[in-house]
Amino acid sequence: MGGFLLRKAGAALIVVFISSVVVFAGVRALPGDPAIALGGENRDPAVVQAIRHTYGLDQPLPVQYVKWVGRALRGDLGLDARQLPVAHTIVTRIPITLELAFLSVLIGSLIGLLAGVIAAVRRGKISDHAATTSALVGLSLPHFWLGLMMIILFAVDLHWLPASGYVSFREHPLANLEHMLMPAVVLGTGLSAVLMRQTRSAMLTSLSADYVRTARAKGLAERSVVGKHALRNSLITVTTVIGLQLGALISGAVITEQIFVIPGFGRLTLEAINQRDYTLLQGVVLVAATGYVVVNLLVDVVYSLLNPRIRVSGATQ
Amino acid sequence: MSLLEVEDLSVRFDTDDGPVHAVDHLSLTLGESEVLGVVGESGCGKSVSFMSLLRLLPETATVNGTARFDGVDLLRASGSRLRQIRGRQIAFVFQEPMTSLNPAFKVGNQIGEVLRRHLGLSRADARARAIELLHLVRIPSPERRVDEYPHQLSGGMRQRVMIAMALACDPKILIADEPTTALDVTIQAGILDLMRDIRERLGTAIVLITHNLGVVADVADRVVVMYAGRKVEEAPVHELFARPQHPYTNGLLGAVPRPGAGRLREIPGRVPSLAELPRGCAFAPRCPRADEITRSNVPDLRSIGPQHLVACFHPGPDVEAVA
Ligand SMILES: Nc1ncnc2c1ncn2[C@@H]1O[C@H](COP(=O)(O)OP(=O)(O)OP(=O)(O)O)[C@@H](O)[C@H]1O
Ligand SMILES: [Mg+2]
Repeated sequence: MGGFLLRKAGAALIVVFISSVVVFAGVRALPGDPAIALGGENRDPAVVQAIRHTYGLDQPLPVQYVKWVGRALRGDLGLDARQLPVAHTIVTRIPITLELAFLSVLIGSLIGLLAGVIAAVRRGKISDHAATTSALVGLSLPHFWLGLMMIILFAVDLHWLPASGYVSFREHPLANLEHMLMPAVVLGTGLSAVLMRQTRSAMLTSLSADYVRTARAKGLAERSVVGKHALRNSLITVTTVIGLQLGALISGAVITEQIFVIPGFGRLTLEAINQRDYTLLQGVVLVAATGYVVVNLLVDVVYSLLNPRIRVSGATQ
Repeated sequence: MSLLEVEDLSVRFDTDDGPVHAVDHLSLTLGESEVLGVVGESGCGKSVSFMSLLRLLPETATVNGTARFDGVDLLRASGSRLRQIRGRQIAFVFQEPMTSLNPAFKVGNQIGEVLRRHLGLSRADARARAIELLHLVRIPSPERRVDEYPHQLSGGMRQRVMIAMALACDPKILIADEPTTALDVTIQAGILDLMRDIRERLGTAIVLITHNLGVVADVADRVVVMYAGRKVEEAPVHELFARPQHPYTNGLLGAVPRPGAGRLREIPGRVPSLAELPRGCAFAPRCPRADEITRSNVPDLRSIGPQHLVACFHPGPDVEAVA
């Protein structure tokens, strides 16, 4: 197990390094001159030149890159256009998005798993068709449309939930959850739909496996035949799917936070782009890429915990 | 009084290509502590017959007949009654040792599960008992194996784990489906030895399903020979080997290596498809004794000696086999 994780972590480091290069080069390849953007209204060549110098933009690209990475490793992502430390801005925004992501994975997984298991157990019956159809609908609905419809229904018409905005959990836990519920459901729809389909097919496979027949022959109740023997093997497939969907979640968060006016990491990304704030954008994308790699590493860990074959072969190698 | 009485058991699978009659009016009994051998070529309905008794077949199967065990008809008992019998009174060792254990759980857990379910043992007690059972089926260093996963065990060891699991609750009946196929000869002998031992020490009645008459010769008291879903012959083991009546039984015996039996012979032809059985005796197309009668009529089972039944118009030992 240790060796397995070490290999995975090594691979993750390489990926983070490559993405840092891509991020750095990518931001530089964007149209427009960052120094001019930073200067704002002031187009005086002397001023622009001075800005270029303070931000180190007059140095060769490799030197700029090494300096940027060197500082980033120490937690310093530079100053944004408003002269605020980028790292600090990101750190204040990330928990909001993490909460949103956590809630949507929670809601999406619960719904997806439950619907998938029921659909498989009741294959061909009405509940199966209902679940399969809802999943298809859930997959085809764009986030922004679903979000707007929910706002109209639950906020404008029924007044059950606030339409938008954000309250921190520490200030007011209940209000926080009320604000987060709709966005989390919207963001979790895709996950639950994909998960439902994957769970259903994985469960159909395991339910017809020989070991499920063994479980029945032991006199176990259907509850443990399905909930223990069949589900455990399906979870191996399903965790991978959740892992793959987390990437989609990051991009979904950008749109969802925009609709529900949640000041999270996704909205910060859009702000950075809209304001042509290169330092900020560079930091945001680097953090997103690193986060993605870390999440995948965690998925590998969970996967190996669920699948004894990987765990053991990793240990003996 | 028999422990298990199966009467007129029929199993039909509804497939895309129409119905498949896998078992056709099978009747048999199993006495206390008896070892019954069930023999026949691949696809003749051995596994399906016995899985149907515990209602372990997929939903596409329709099962008819009765199966009396301990005052209940297994085929009609309530789900909860059936679950009390499965694993506790009647235990199954499946034919497929590689896939019949759950890959996601330690073998100790899988053996312990049946103990906790039926005997209400605690986790710790179940684990301790699982080690004893692994010891009983002669798995070396059971204290270590108990915490291993199925993929860490060889096929023979998995088969033993299946047997340990089946024996866990000291069942009245053990149904062992080809417990020795896919194992090499020395391990085969070990497993058969184990079966004999279990019967002697625990008094368990055993149904030993196999396509190999050589295996039943050593272990079984009585033998049922099946062909294309039907019972074609039944006799005590010595009687069957001394006076085989059905040409199919004769054919099977010809394929068993025995001292003084001369060259091994295969039965010519192949098992017919169950979806398109011939009109008369199902064995007729392969039978050296076939004639007009056998090709157009299905022979009934009839008694031909003490405890000896055969379904054939022209019963009797092969001349060659006797010589
Ligand atoms: N789920 C199923 N659907 C349709 N037909 C089936 C199904 N299961 C078994 N059968 C058919 O029933 C017949 C009997 O199968 P069974 O497994 O009992 O044979 P067997 O005597 O145990 O053979 P083997 O020695 O290969 O184990 C076979 O012809 C098989 O094709
Ligand atoms: Mg079989």
